[in-house]
Amino acid sequence: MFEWLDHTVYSNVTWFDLIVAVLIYFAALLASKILTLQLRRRFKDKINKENLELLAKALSYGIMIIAIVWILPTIGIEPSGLIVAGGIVALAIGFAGQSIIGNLISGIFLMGERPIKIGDLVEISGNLGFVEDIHIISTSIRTLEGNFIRIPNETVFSSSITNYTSTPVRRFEYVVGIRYADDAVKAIQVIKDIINAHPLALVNPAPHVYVENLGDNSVDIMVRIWSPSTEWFGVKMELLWKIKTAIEEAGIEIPFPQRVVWFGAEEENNGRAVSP
Amino acid sequence: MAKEKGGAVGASRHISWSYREGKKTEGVPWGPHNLPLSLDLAGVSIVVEKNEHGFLYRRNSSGGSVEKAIMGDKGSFYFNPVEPLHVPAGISTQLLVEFDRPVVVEPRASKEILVTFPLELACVIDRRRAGKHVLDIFSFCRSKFTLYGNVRNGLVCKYWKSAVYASRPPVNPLEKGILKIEIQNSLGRWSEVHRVVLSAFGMKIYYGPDLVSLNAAIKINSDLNAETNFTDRPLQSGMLKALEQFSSKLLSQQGRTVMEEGY
Repeated sequence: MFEWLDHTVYSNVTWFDLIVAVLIYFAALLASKILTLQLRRRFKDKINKENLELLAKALSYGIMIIAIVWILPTIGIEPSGLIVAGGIVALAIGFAGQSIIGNLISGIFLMGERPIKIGDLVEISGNLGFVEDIHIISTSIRTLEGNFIRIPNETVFSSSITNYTSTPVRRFEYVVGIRYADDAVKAIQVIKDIINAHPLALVNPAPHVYVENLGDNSVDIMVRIWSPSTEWFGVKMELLWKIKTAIEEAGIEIPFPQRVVWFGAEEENNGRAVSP
Repeated sequence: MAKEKGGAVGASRHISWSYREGKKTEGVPWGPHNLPLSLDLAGVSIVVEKNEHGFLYRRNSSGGSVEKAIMGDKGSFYFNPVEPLHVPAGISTQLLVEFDRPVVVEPRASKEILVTFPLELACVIDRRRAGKHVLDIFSFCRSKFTLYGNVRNGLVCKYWKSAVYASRPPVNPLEKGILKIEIQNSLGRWSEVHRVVLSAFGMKIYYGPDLVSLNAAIKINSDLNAETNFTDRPLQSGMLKALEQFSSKLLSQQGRTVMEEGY
């Protein structure tokens, strides 16, 4: 009944070989559809749409190329010659596009690891700014001055990245110096009242205000405040001036560095012994 | 006490309202009000006056002033309590209410408590076919924020500390609302509740002349895990449903908050 399957169609290729080739092709097509669908589902929230489509296409083409290389001997075409030729071309392209490939692979790893995302405030190899876009080859950031910087993904991947907005809250601190003659307890209370009145100085983690150092010219009060990461800079600027104004209004002064110099003649006039 | 002056159609009306704790007050003038009008609400002055373009909206308070030009010749004006997560805008969509003393609930029991929550008030212009538009949102309460959970991946929430009541306390209905919380302890041991985190999405606020209310529930699942959601029901009959400014298309997100870092 199935003897016709052994009939030769051309050279040594039978009907059976042709049917196997067609089945492999359609199985590969089905596998590529399923895998790209899974890829899109799993990485929908992790990789941006453009890059995800690029990866899906690369996966789909990769599966189809493997399937075709598998099919070719079945239908009587020897791929070894093609592979050698393809290998040489690939080698040439590899040398020529070494950095592009490096950036591409780094881009894929970055998308998987996700140390940064669009809109984050980051510092990458000395460049501070907001992430505008993450492409497969490069990442673009907008500096705080408004300049646009394109950084190759290889640089992003291999350098240390500081992400200032990856956590929901951020801490900032000031050192407020007051005179030795002033009441530090009162100064701490004034500062605490100012912090409590500010909506974006968080209740938890709690702010800390304490005497940290007895300096040469001042009693140093450490002020540590947490605020939402997206707002910290504005809060920091606003609170610093409010604290300065409030402690001055409370009669507490922020001293200037000063040094008292006694001259020998003055000492004698004052009837004091001059110590060496 | 509410006083209305004038009353002729088209003429500006003046309404004054104040609150004194412990005294029975007349209901909050929520509206609708015909335009133009002027309102004095416990120190906040709201004026909508006619001009050559249409109307001019002005709100003055000790905290600052807001002005908006309204390009339209008709409409009515009213107040509406909204989800208390607009002032300041864009910081958080979660409200954390901390109890002034922990509430201990017996095993496998469901108990109800009353606490207060901060109110934010929306000034709304409404026209039958054009629909409603929020002109301004303000609050008599001081805003404060906190972090729920850890520094790595916690939630920034609006913070409110409240006493726990067994019966309805007297509150200024422009400043605070009454939040009824049903605590469902599904554990076989005593549970201590210190706080609830509520989502702005799906908050069902109701208002009446002297009361603004919200109904919520917290289900305790384990020592660190609880889940909060809302019940779409007023605290007393005759209350109206407030305008919802936060709405989610996903039903699964409607009002549900999972508290994974303790309660």
